[in-house]
Amino acid sequence: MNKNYTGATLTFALLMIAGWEYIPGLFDIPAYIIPTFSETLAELLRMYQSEALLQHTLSTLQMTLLGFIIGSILGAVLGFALGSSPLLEKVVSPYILALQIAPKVAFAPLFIMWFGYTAWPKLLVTILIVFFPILVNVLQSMKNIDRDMINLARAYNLSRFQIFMKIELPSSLPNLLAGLRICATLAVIGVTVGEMVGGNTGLGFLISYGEGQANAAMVFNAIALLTVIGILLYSLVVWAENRILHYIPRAEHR
Amino acid sequence: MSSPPPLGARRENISACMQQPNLIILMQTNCSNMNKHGYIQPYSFTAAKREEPRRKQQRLHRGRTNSHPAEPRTLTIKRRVTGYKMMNSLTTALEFRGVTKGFSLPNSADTQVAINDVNFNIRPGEFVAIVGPSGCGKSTILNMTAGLYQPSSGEVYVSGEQVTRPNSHVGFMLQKDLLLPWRTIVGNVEFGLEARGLGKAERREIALRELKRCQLEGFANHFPYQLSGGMRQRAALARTLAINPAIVLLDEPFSALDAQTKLLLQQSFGETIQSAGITTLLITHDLSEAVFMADRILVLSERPATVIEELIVELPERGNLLERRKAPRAAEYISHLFDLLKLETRGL
Repeated sequence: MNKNYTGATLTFALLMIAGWEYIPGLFDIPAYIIPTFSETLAELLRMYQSEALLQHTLSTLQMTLLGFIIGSILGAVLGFALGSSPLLEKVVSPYILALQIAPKVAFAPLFIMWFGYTAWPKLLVTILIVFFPILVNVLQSMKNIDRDMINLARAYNLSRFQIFMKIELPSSLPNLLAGLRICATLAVIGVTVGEMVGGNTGLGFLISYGEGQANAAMVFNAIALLTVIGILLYSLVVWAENRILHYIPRAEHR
Repeated sequence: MSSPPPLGARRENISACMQQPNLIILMQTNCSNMNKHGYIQPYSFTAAKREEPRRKQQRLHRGRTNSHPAEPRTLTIKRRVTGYKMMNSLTTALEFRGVTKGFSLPNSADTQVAINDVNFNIRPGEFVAIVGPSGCGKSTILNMTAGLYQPSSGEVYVSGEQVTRPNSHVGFMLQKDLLLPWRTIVGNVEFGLEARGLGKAERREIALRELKRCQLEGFANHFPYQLSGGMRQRAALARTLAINPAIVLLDEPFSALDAQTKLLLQQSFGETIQSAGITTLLITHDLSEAVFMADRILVLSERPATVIEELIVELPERGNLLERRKAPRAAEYISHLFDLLKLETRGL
């Protein structure tokens, strides 16, 4: 069963690559519009040799991880804080909603005006973009915790802190991890925008650089590598999720 | 005005009291017009139906007149009207003294009275069931016993100590097993012990002992999702018993189970509770469950709930439900309760 699907998927990929390689030639599409597969690969090699591709990729990877981790921690902490204090939540939640709706990438030029062409703007955009989904997910799970469960813990004389550590924190892990999964993909967007708008390193910079040179192959390669970073981060979260949430029964093989 | 039940044979009343010597210290306080030992009265079913519309008034008038015509006695049920106070609270595991609880309604200055002037007590080792119409405030009684909130007026005592906050003498169990899904079964049983300053090894030892008592030895390291609903409820009972409570509150613990599991689990709980001699308060909708499991049944009225009748179940072998089910009198108790509650919910 599984093998058949793998075969079909691979065949599909080969067809796509073949189409990519030969169709642009049929219609006389120039390489600065759609470079062929082989041209793109050749450009990748050239970028590796003379454009310091590895450094750019590592820089983006580093910023993505850093922004993802800091943003998640801040979002989770504030989510738990708001979830523990209904008063605080009532006071703050309208602003949080407004900030959540505001397009975070639009803050990038502002951050560049404040912090210049440093690592800060892209890091801040990433943190901002990661922060809200985590916050909202954690807050939601804190609100959905079974009151009877809390009452049981209270009847057993558990302290407020023990209730948090033994019930609220583990109860919200599924939601937190679902939020992390969403943010693994969002983090890449945040870093890319930050690098495109104001930077001299990273794959996002290579995209705007390639655009300026009408080098579509470079843009293609940068996009592909950004996708790989996103997939890696996403897989990492899924792997962690499977290990942490082992106690949740899953439907056997979908 | 309908007639209260006949006073009946006083000699029987007295002898019934003597069989329960620790009841003799009870003192009537607000049923002054009753006979001296008047909290136990022979009482017939046929009379019950007739007098039901006036049940509340009857609490005050019972025993005053004897105009009720002679009826064929189909079944003698001993009832007590509550409202007495304990002179010596050491003999009670749980006592409600004139407890009223009102809740303030959201967006309104009014308060809704959930229970009104509830009085009862439970002796150590006794198994008492509370039945009543749905939504009548049974869970309010449970939550106040657990100390999760305080009565608006009146007092609750557990083992003679007034309940003012959550306390470790009360173990409670709900329809939901409330097992933590990320913990193993033995870890869940240890949960209640974790605020007690016990060592890790000691907690584990207690938890394993309770699992054995609840016939779950082989499942200590399983996770809750790997167990059936009935087994999960047994694990919840093990967790409840692990804290060695003075009284166990069961709030409809069987109502989420399928019919067969329910029967098996009732039997299993009955045996465990009987052999461990645990004082138990069972809150239930299921009238037969109350009759099969309890020594005594308190019947609550509709909201605001108050105890309208107290029924002593005189069936053999508490703890062995299979035997009790066979007892012919069980059906009569059940139909008596049925009549009572049907009347009380007539307004719906």
